[in-house]
Amino acid sequence: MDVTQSSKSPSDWTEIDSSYRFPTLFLASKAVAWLLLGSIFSLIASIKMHSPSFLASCPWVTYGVMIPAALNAVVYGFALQGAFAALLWITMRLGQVKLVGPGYLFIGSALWNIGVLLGVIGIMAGHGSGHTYLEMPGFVSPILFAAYTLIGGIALVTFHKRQVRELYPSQWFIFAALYWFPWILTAGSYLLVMSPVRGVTQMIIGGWYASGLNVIVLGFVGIAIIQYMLPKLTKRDLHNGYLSLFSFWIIMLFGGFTGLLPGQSLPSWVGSLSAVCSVFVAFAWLVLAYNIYRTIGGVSGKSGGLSYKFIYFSAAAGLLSAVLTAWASRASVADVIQFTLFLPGLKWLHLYGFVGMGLLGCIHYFLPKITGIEWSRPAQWTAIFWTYAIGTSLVGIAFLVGGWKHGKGLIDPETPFMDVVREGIAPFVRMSTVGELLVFVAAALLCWNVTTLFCRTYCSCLCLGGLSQNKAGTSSETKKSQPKKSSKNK
Amino acid sequence: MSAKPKKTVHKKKHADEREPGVHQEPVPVLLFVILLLLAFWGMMYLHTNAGGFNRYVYGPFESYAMVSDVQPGSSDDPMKRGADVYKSICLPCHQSSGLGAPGQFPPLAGSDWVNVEGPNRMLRIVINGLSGPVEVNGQSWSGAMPGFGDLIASDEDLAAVITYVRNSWGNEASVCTPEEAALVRSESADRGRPWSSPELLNLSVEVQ
Amino acid sequence: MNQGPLLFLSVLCAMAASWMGFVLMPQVQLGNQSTRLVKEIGRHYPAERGGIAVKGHDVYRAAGCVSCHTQQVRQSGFIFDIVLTDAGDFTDLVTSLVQQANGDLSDQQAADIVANAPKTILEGVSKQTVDSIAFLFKDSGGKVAANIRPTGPDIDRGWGPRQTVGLDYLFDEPVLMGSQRIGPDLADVGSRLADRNWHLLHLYHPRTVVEKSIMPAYPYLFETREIGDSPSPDALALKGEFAPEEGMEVIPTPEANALVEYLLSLRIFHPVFEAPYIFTQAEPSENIDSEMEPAE
Repeated sequence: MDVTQSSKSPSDWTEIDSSYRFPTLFLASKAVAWLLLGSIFSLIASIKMHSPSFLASCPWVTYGVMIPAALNAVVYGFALQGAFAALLWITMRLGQVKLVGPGYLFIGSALWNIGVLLGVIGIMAGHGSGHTYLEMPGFVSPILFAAYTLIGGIALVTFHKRQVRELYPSQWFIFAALYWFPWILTAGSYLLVMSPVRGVTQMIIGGWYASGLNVIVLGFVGIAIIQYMLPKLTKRDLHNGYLSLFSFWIIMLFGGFTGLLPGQSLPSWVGSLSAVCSVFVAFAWLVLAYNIYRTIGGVSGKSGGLSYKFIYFSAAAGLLSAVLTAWASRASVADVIQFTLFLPGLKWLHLYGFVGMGLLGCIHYFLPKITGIEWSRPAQWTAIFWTYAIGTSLVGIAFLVGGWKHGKGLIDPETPFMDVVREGIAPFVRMSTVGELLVFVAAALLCWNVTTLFCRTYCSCLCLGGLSQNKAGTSSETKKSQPKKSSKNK
Repeated sequence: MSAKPKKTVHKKKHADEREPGVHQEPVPVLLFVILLLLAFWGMMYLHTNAGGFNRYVYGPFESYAMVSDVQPGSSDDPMKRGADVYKSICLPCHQSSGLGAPGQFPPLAGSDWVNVEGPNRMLRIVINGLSGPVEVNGQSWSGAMPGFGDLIASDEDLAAVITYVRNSWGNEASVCTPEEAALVRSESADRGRPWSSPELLNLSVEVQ
Repeated sequence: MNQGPLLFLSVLCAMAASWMGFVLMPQVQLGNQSTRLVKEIGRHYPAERGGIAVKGHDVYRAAGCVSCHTQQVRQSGFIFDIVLTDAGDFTDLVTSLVQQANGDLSDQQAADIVANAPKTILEGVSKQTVDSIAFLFKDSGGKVAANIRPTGPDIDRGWGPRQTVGLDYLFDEPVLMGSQRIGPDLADVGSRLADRNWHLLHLYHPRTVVEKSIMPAYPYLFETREIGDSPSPDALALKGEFAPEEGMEVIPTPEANALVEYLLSLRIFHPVFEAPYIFTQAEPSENIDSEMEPAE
C-alpha cells in the first residue's frame, strides 16, 4: 500500500492558486457562456420540432443549422473549454506546481473563443461542412489548433514541471486526452474539411473523429474529474490504482473505434468492429464504476456537499452512456435505433449528463477555492443542480425512449412515415423541449453566478492594487492581506 | 460589496485539504479472465459478422462468396458456370486470383495469351495441354500443363470456363461459344499430345 | 507509476492503432474506388453530378438538410424469384419439373409456364430453395434463373430498390449520408418524386403538398414580387391560404431551382455488385438523364 500525501506548505499553495486564478476563471466563465448559447440553440431547434413555422423565414436559425450550431457551441465552447479549465486545475493541484506562462494561456483561450465564435457564426451563415462534430468551416480548424497549441502546450509543460512526480490516475487520463486531441483535430479536419478524401471513407473518418473526441478526449477528462473529485470530496483514497490503469488501457485501445453503429451504408466490418469495441469500453466503465464504488462506498451524499452530487450524477450518466452505447451496437438493437432520436439521446446524455455535470461540479468546487471568494448565493447553486439535472434527464429520457419508439415505427413499413414522426414521437419532443428549457434556465443562472464571481475577483484584485501582477502571480501584498480578512470573518 | 463578509481565505482551507492518495493492489485475476473471454467473443463476433473485412460485403450479406453467389443471372450464365469449372479444375495452379504462382504457373489475369480477339489458342491449350517454354507478358515460363479435354466433357462447360477466364480479374475479351468449343474439340480430336508455344503462335487467334 | 515517457509511448501506440483501423484501412480499401461499367445501362456508374445540381448539393449542405434526412437505404435480407428462362426441347420433362418445384401449380398452369417462358415459377424463396431447384433442372434442357429481391422496411416503404453502398457516394463532396430520419430518406427521392413543381411547392411551404408535414418552410429560397407586365411562367401555383397577396407572385430563386435539381438527381436506378437486385427499369426518365451523363 502506497498513499501519496501533499507536503506543500500553505503559503506555496497561495502562490500556486493565484498563478492560475485568472486564466482558469476566464476559461470557466467563457465555458458557461457557451453552454448558455448552446442551450438557446438547442431550445430553438427543439421548439421547431413541434412548431415548424417558428422563426421559419430566417435562414440563420433553421432547424438544420441550429442542431450543428448547438452541438459545436456545447462541444467546443463549453465542454472542451471547461475541460481545459478543469484539467489545468487538477494538474496543478496534483502536481503542486505553478502555472507556466499564464499570459500565453490567456492568448490561447482568447483565440479559442474567437475560433469557436467564428465557427458557430460560419455554421449559421451556411458555411457548415456537413460532417458531424466538424461542422465548423475549414478556416476555423487552424485557429483552434493554434489556440490548442498554446493551451495544451502550457498544460503539458506544467504537467512536466510538477513537483510531485508520483502520478495520480487522473493524471494519466488527462495526459492522454491532451495528446489525443491535437491528433484527431488535425487528422479529422484535414481529411474531411480541408483536403477531403473521396467518397464514403469520409463517413468512417467522421465516426473515428467523433469517438475520439467523445470517448477519449472528453470522456477521459470526465473520468479524471470523477476519479479525482469523488475521493477528494469524501476524504478517501482511491480504492485501487491498478484498476484505473486497467480501464485506462482498455478505453484507450478500443475507445477510438466506437463511433459507427452497424446498419449504415458502410462495409459490414466497420459496424461490427465498432460493436465489439463498444462492449470493451462498457466493460472498462464497469471496472471504473466498481473502483469508485469501493472508494466512496458507505459515504452519505451529504458529507461531500453539492459538488459531490454533481460528480455523482456525472459518474452515473457516464456509466449509463457507455453501457447504452454497447447495448445499442448489438445488430438487433441497432436495426431499431439507427437513424432515430436515440442517437442524439446518447449524445446529450454523454455531453450534458456525463461531461457537463462533471465540469459544473468541478467549477462549483474549485472557483471559490482559487479566488478565495465564496459563491454569494449558494441556494442558486442548489437550484442550478436540480434544474440542470432534471433538464438533462428529461432530454435524455425523451430522446432515448422517444428514439426507441421512433425506431419501432420506422422498421414497421405498415405505419405511415408521417404518423411515426408526428403522433409517434410528438410527446417526447415536447418533453425534450421542457428539458432544454430547464437546461437553459440552469445555464443562465450558472452564467450569472460565474460572471459575478469573475467580476468580484477582478474588483477585489483591483482594490488590492494587484492588477499588474495578478496575471503572472500574486503580489506579496495580496497574500498578506488575506489572512487579515479571515480573522475579521471570525 | 454585500458578499464581503462571506469571503474566506484559501490558505487556511488548503492546509486542511488533502489530495486523494492511491491504494495499489494487484488487479483481480477474474478481470483478466473476463477480458480474455471478451476478446474470444469479439473474435468470434467478427468472424461471423465482419464479412471477412471485405470491402464488397454490406448489410445482409455474410461474405464475399455469398455476394457473388447471389448475383442475378440464369443458372446457365456462362460466367457462373465457368466459375464452377474453374474452381474444380484450374484453381489449384492458377489460383482464385488468376495470378498463378511466381516461377511455376503463369498468370491468367492480364495475360497476353488471354486478352486476344479469339479463344482458339486457349481452347487448344485447355483441350490438349501445353509443354515447353512459353512467354507470357514478356516473361518466360517453363513447365507443362496437361490437357483437360476429357475432364471437361461438355462443350458448354468448356466454353464457359474460357469465357470466365477471358472476363475475370480485369480481363476483357470476347465470349467463347459452345459451338466454337465443339469445333476446336473436333479439330484436335486425334492430336493426342500437348501443344508447344511456337506451334500455337502459328495458328490464328480466332476460331475458323 | 510515474514514467511520463512510457505513458506517452502508450498513448502514441493506441492512437496509431485507432488511426490505422478507422482512417488508413478504410482509405486503402475504399479510397481508390472508381466508376464501374454497368452492363444493363451500358454506362459507367456513378456519374459525376453536372449542371446546377452541383450547386444544389451545396444548398442542401448549407441549409443543414442532413440534420433531418438520411441518404442511406438499409436492407435486412433478400429473397429470390425463380424464373424459367428457357424451356428447352424436352417440354414434358420440364413441365413435370416445374410442378415439382412449385407444388401449387396445376397441370395447366405448369404447361402455360413452359409454353410461355420466360415465366416466373416461384416467388420469394430462400437461397437454399434456389439451389435445390437449380439442381433439379440441371441437365433437363430447361433453364432457370434466380432473381434476387432485396427486402427490409426501408425497401418496403419504397425508399429505394436496394441498399445503398459505398460506391453510391463516390462523387458526393461532402458525403451527406445523414444519421437522422426526422424526414424520410432521400437516397432515391428523384425516382419517387420526379415532379419539379411538387418539390418547389414543398420547399416553399411543405403543408401545401403534404398536409401533416413537420418540415420547416424555406421561404427565403423564394422571392415574392409584384407581377410585372404579365405573370412569370416560373411563378408557383399557390392556392388558398398559401397564395401571396393580390398582384404578387412567388418566384423560386436560383438556389431553390438548384436544390430541386439536386434532389431529382438522387436516384438509385440499377444494381451494383455489392447490392444486387433485378434491374427492371428500362431507362431513367429523360430530364434527369441529361444530368447523369457518364464520366468517361
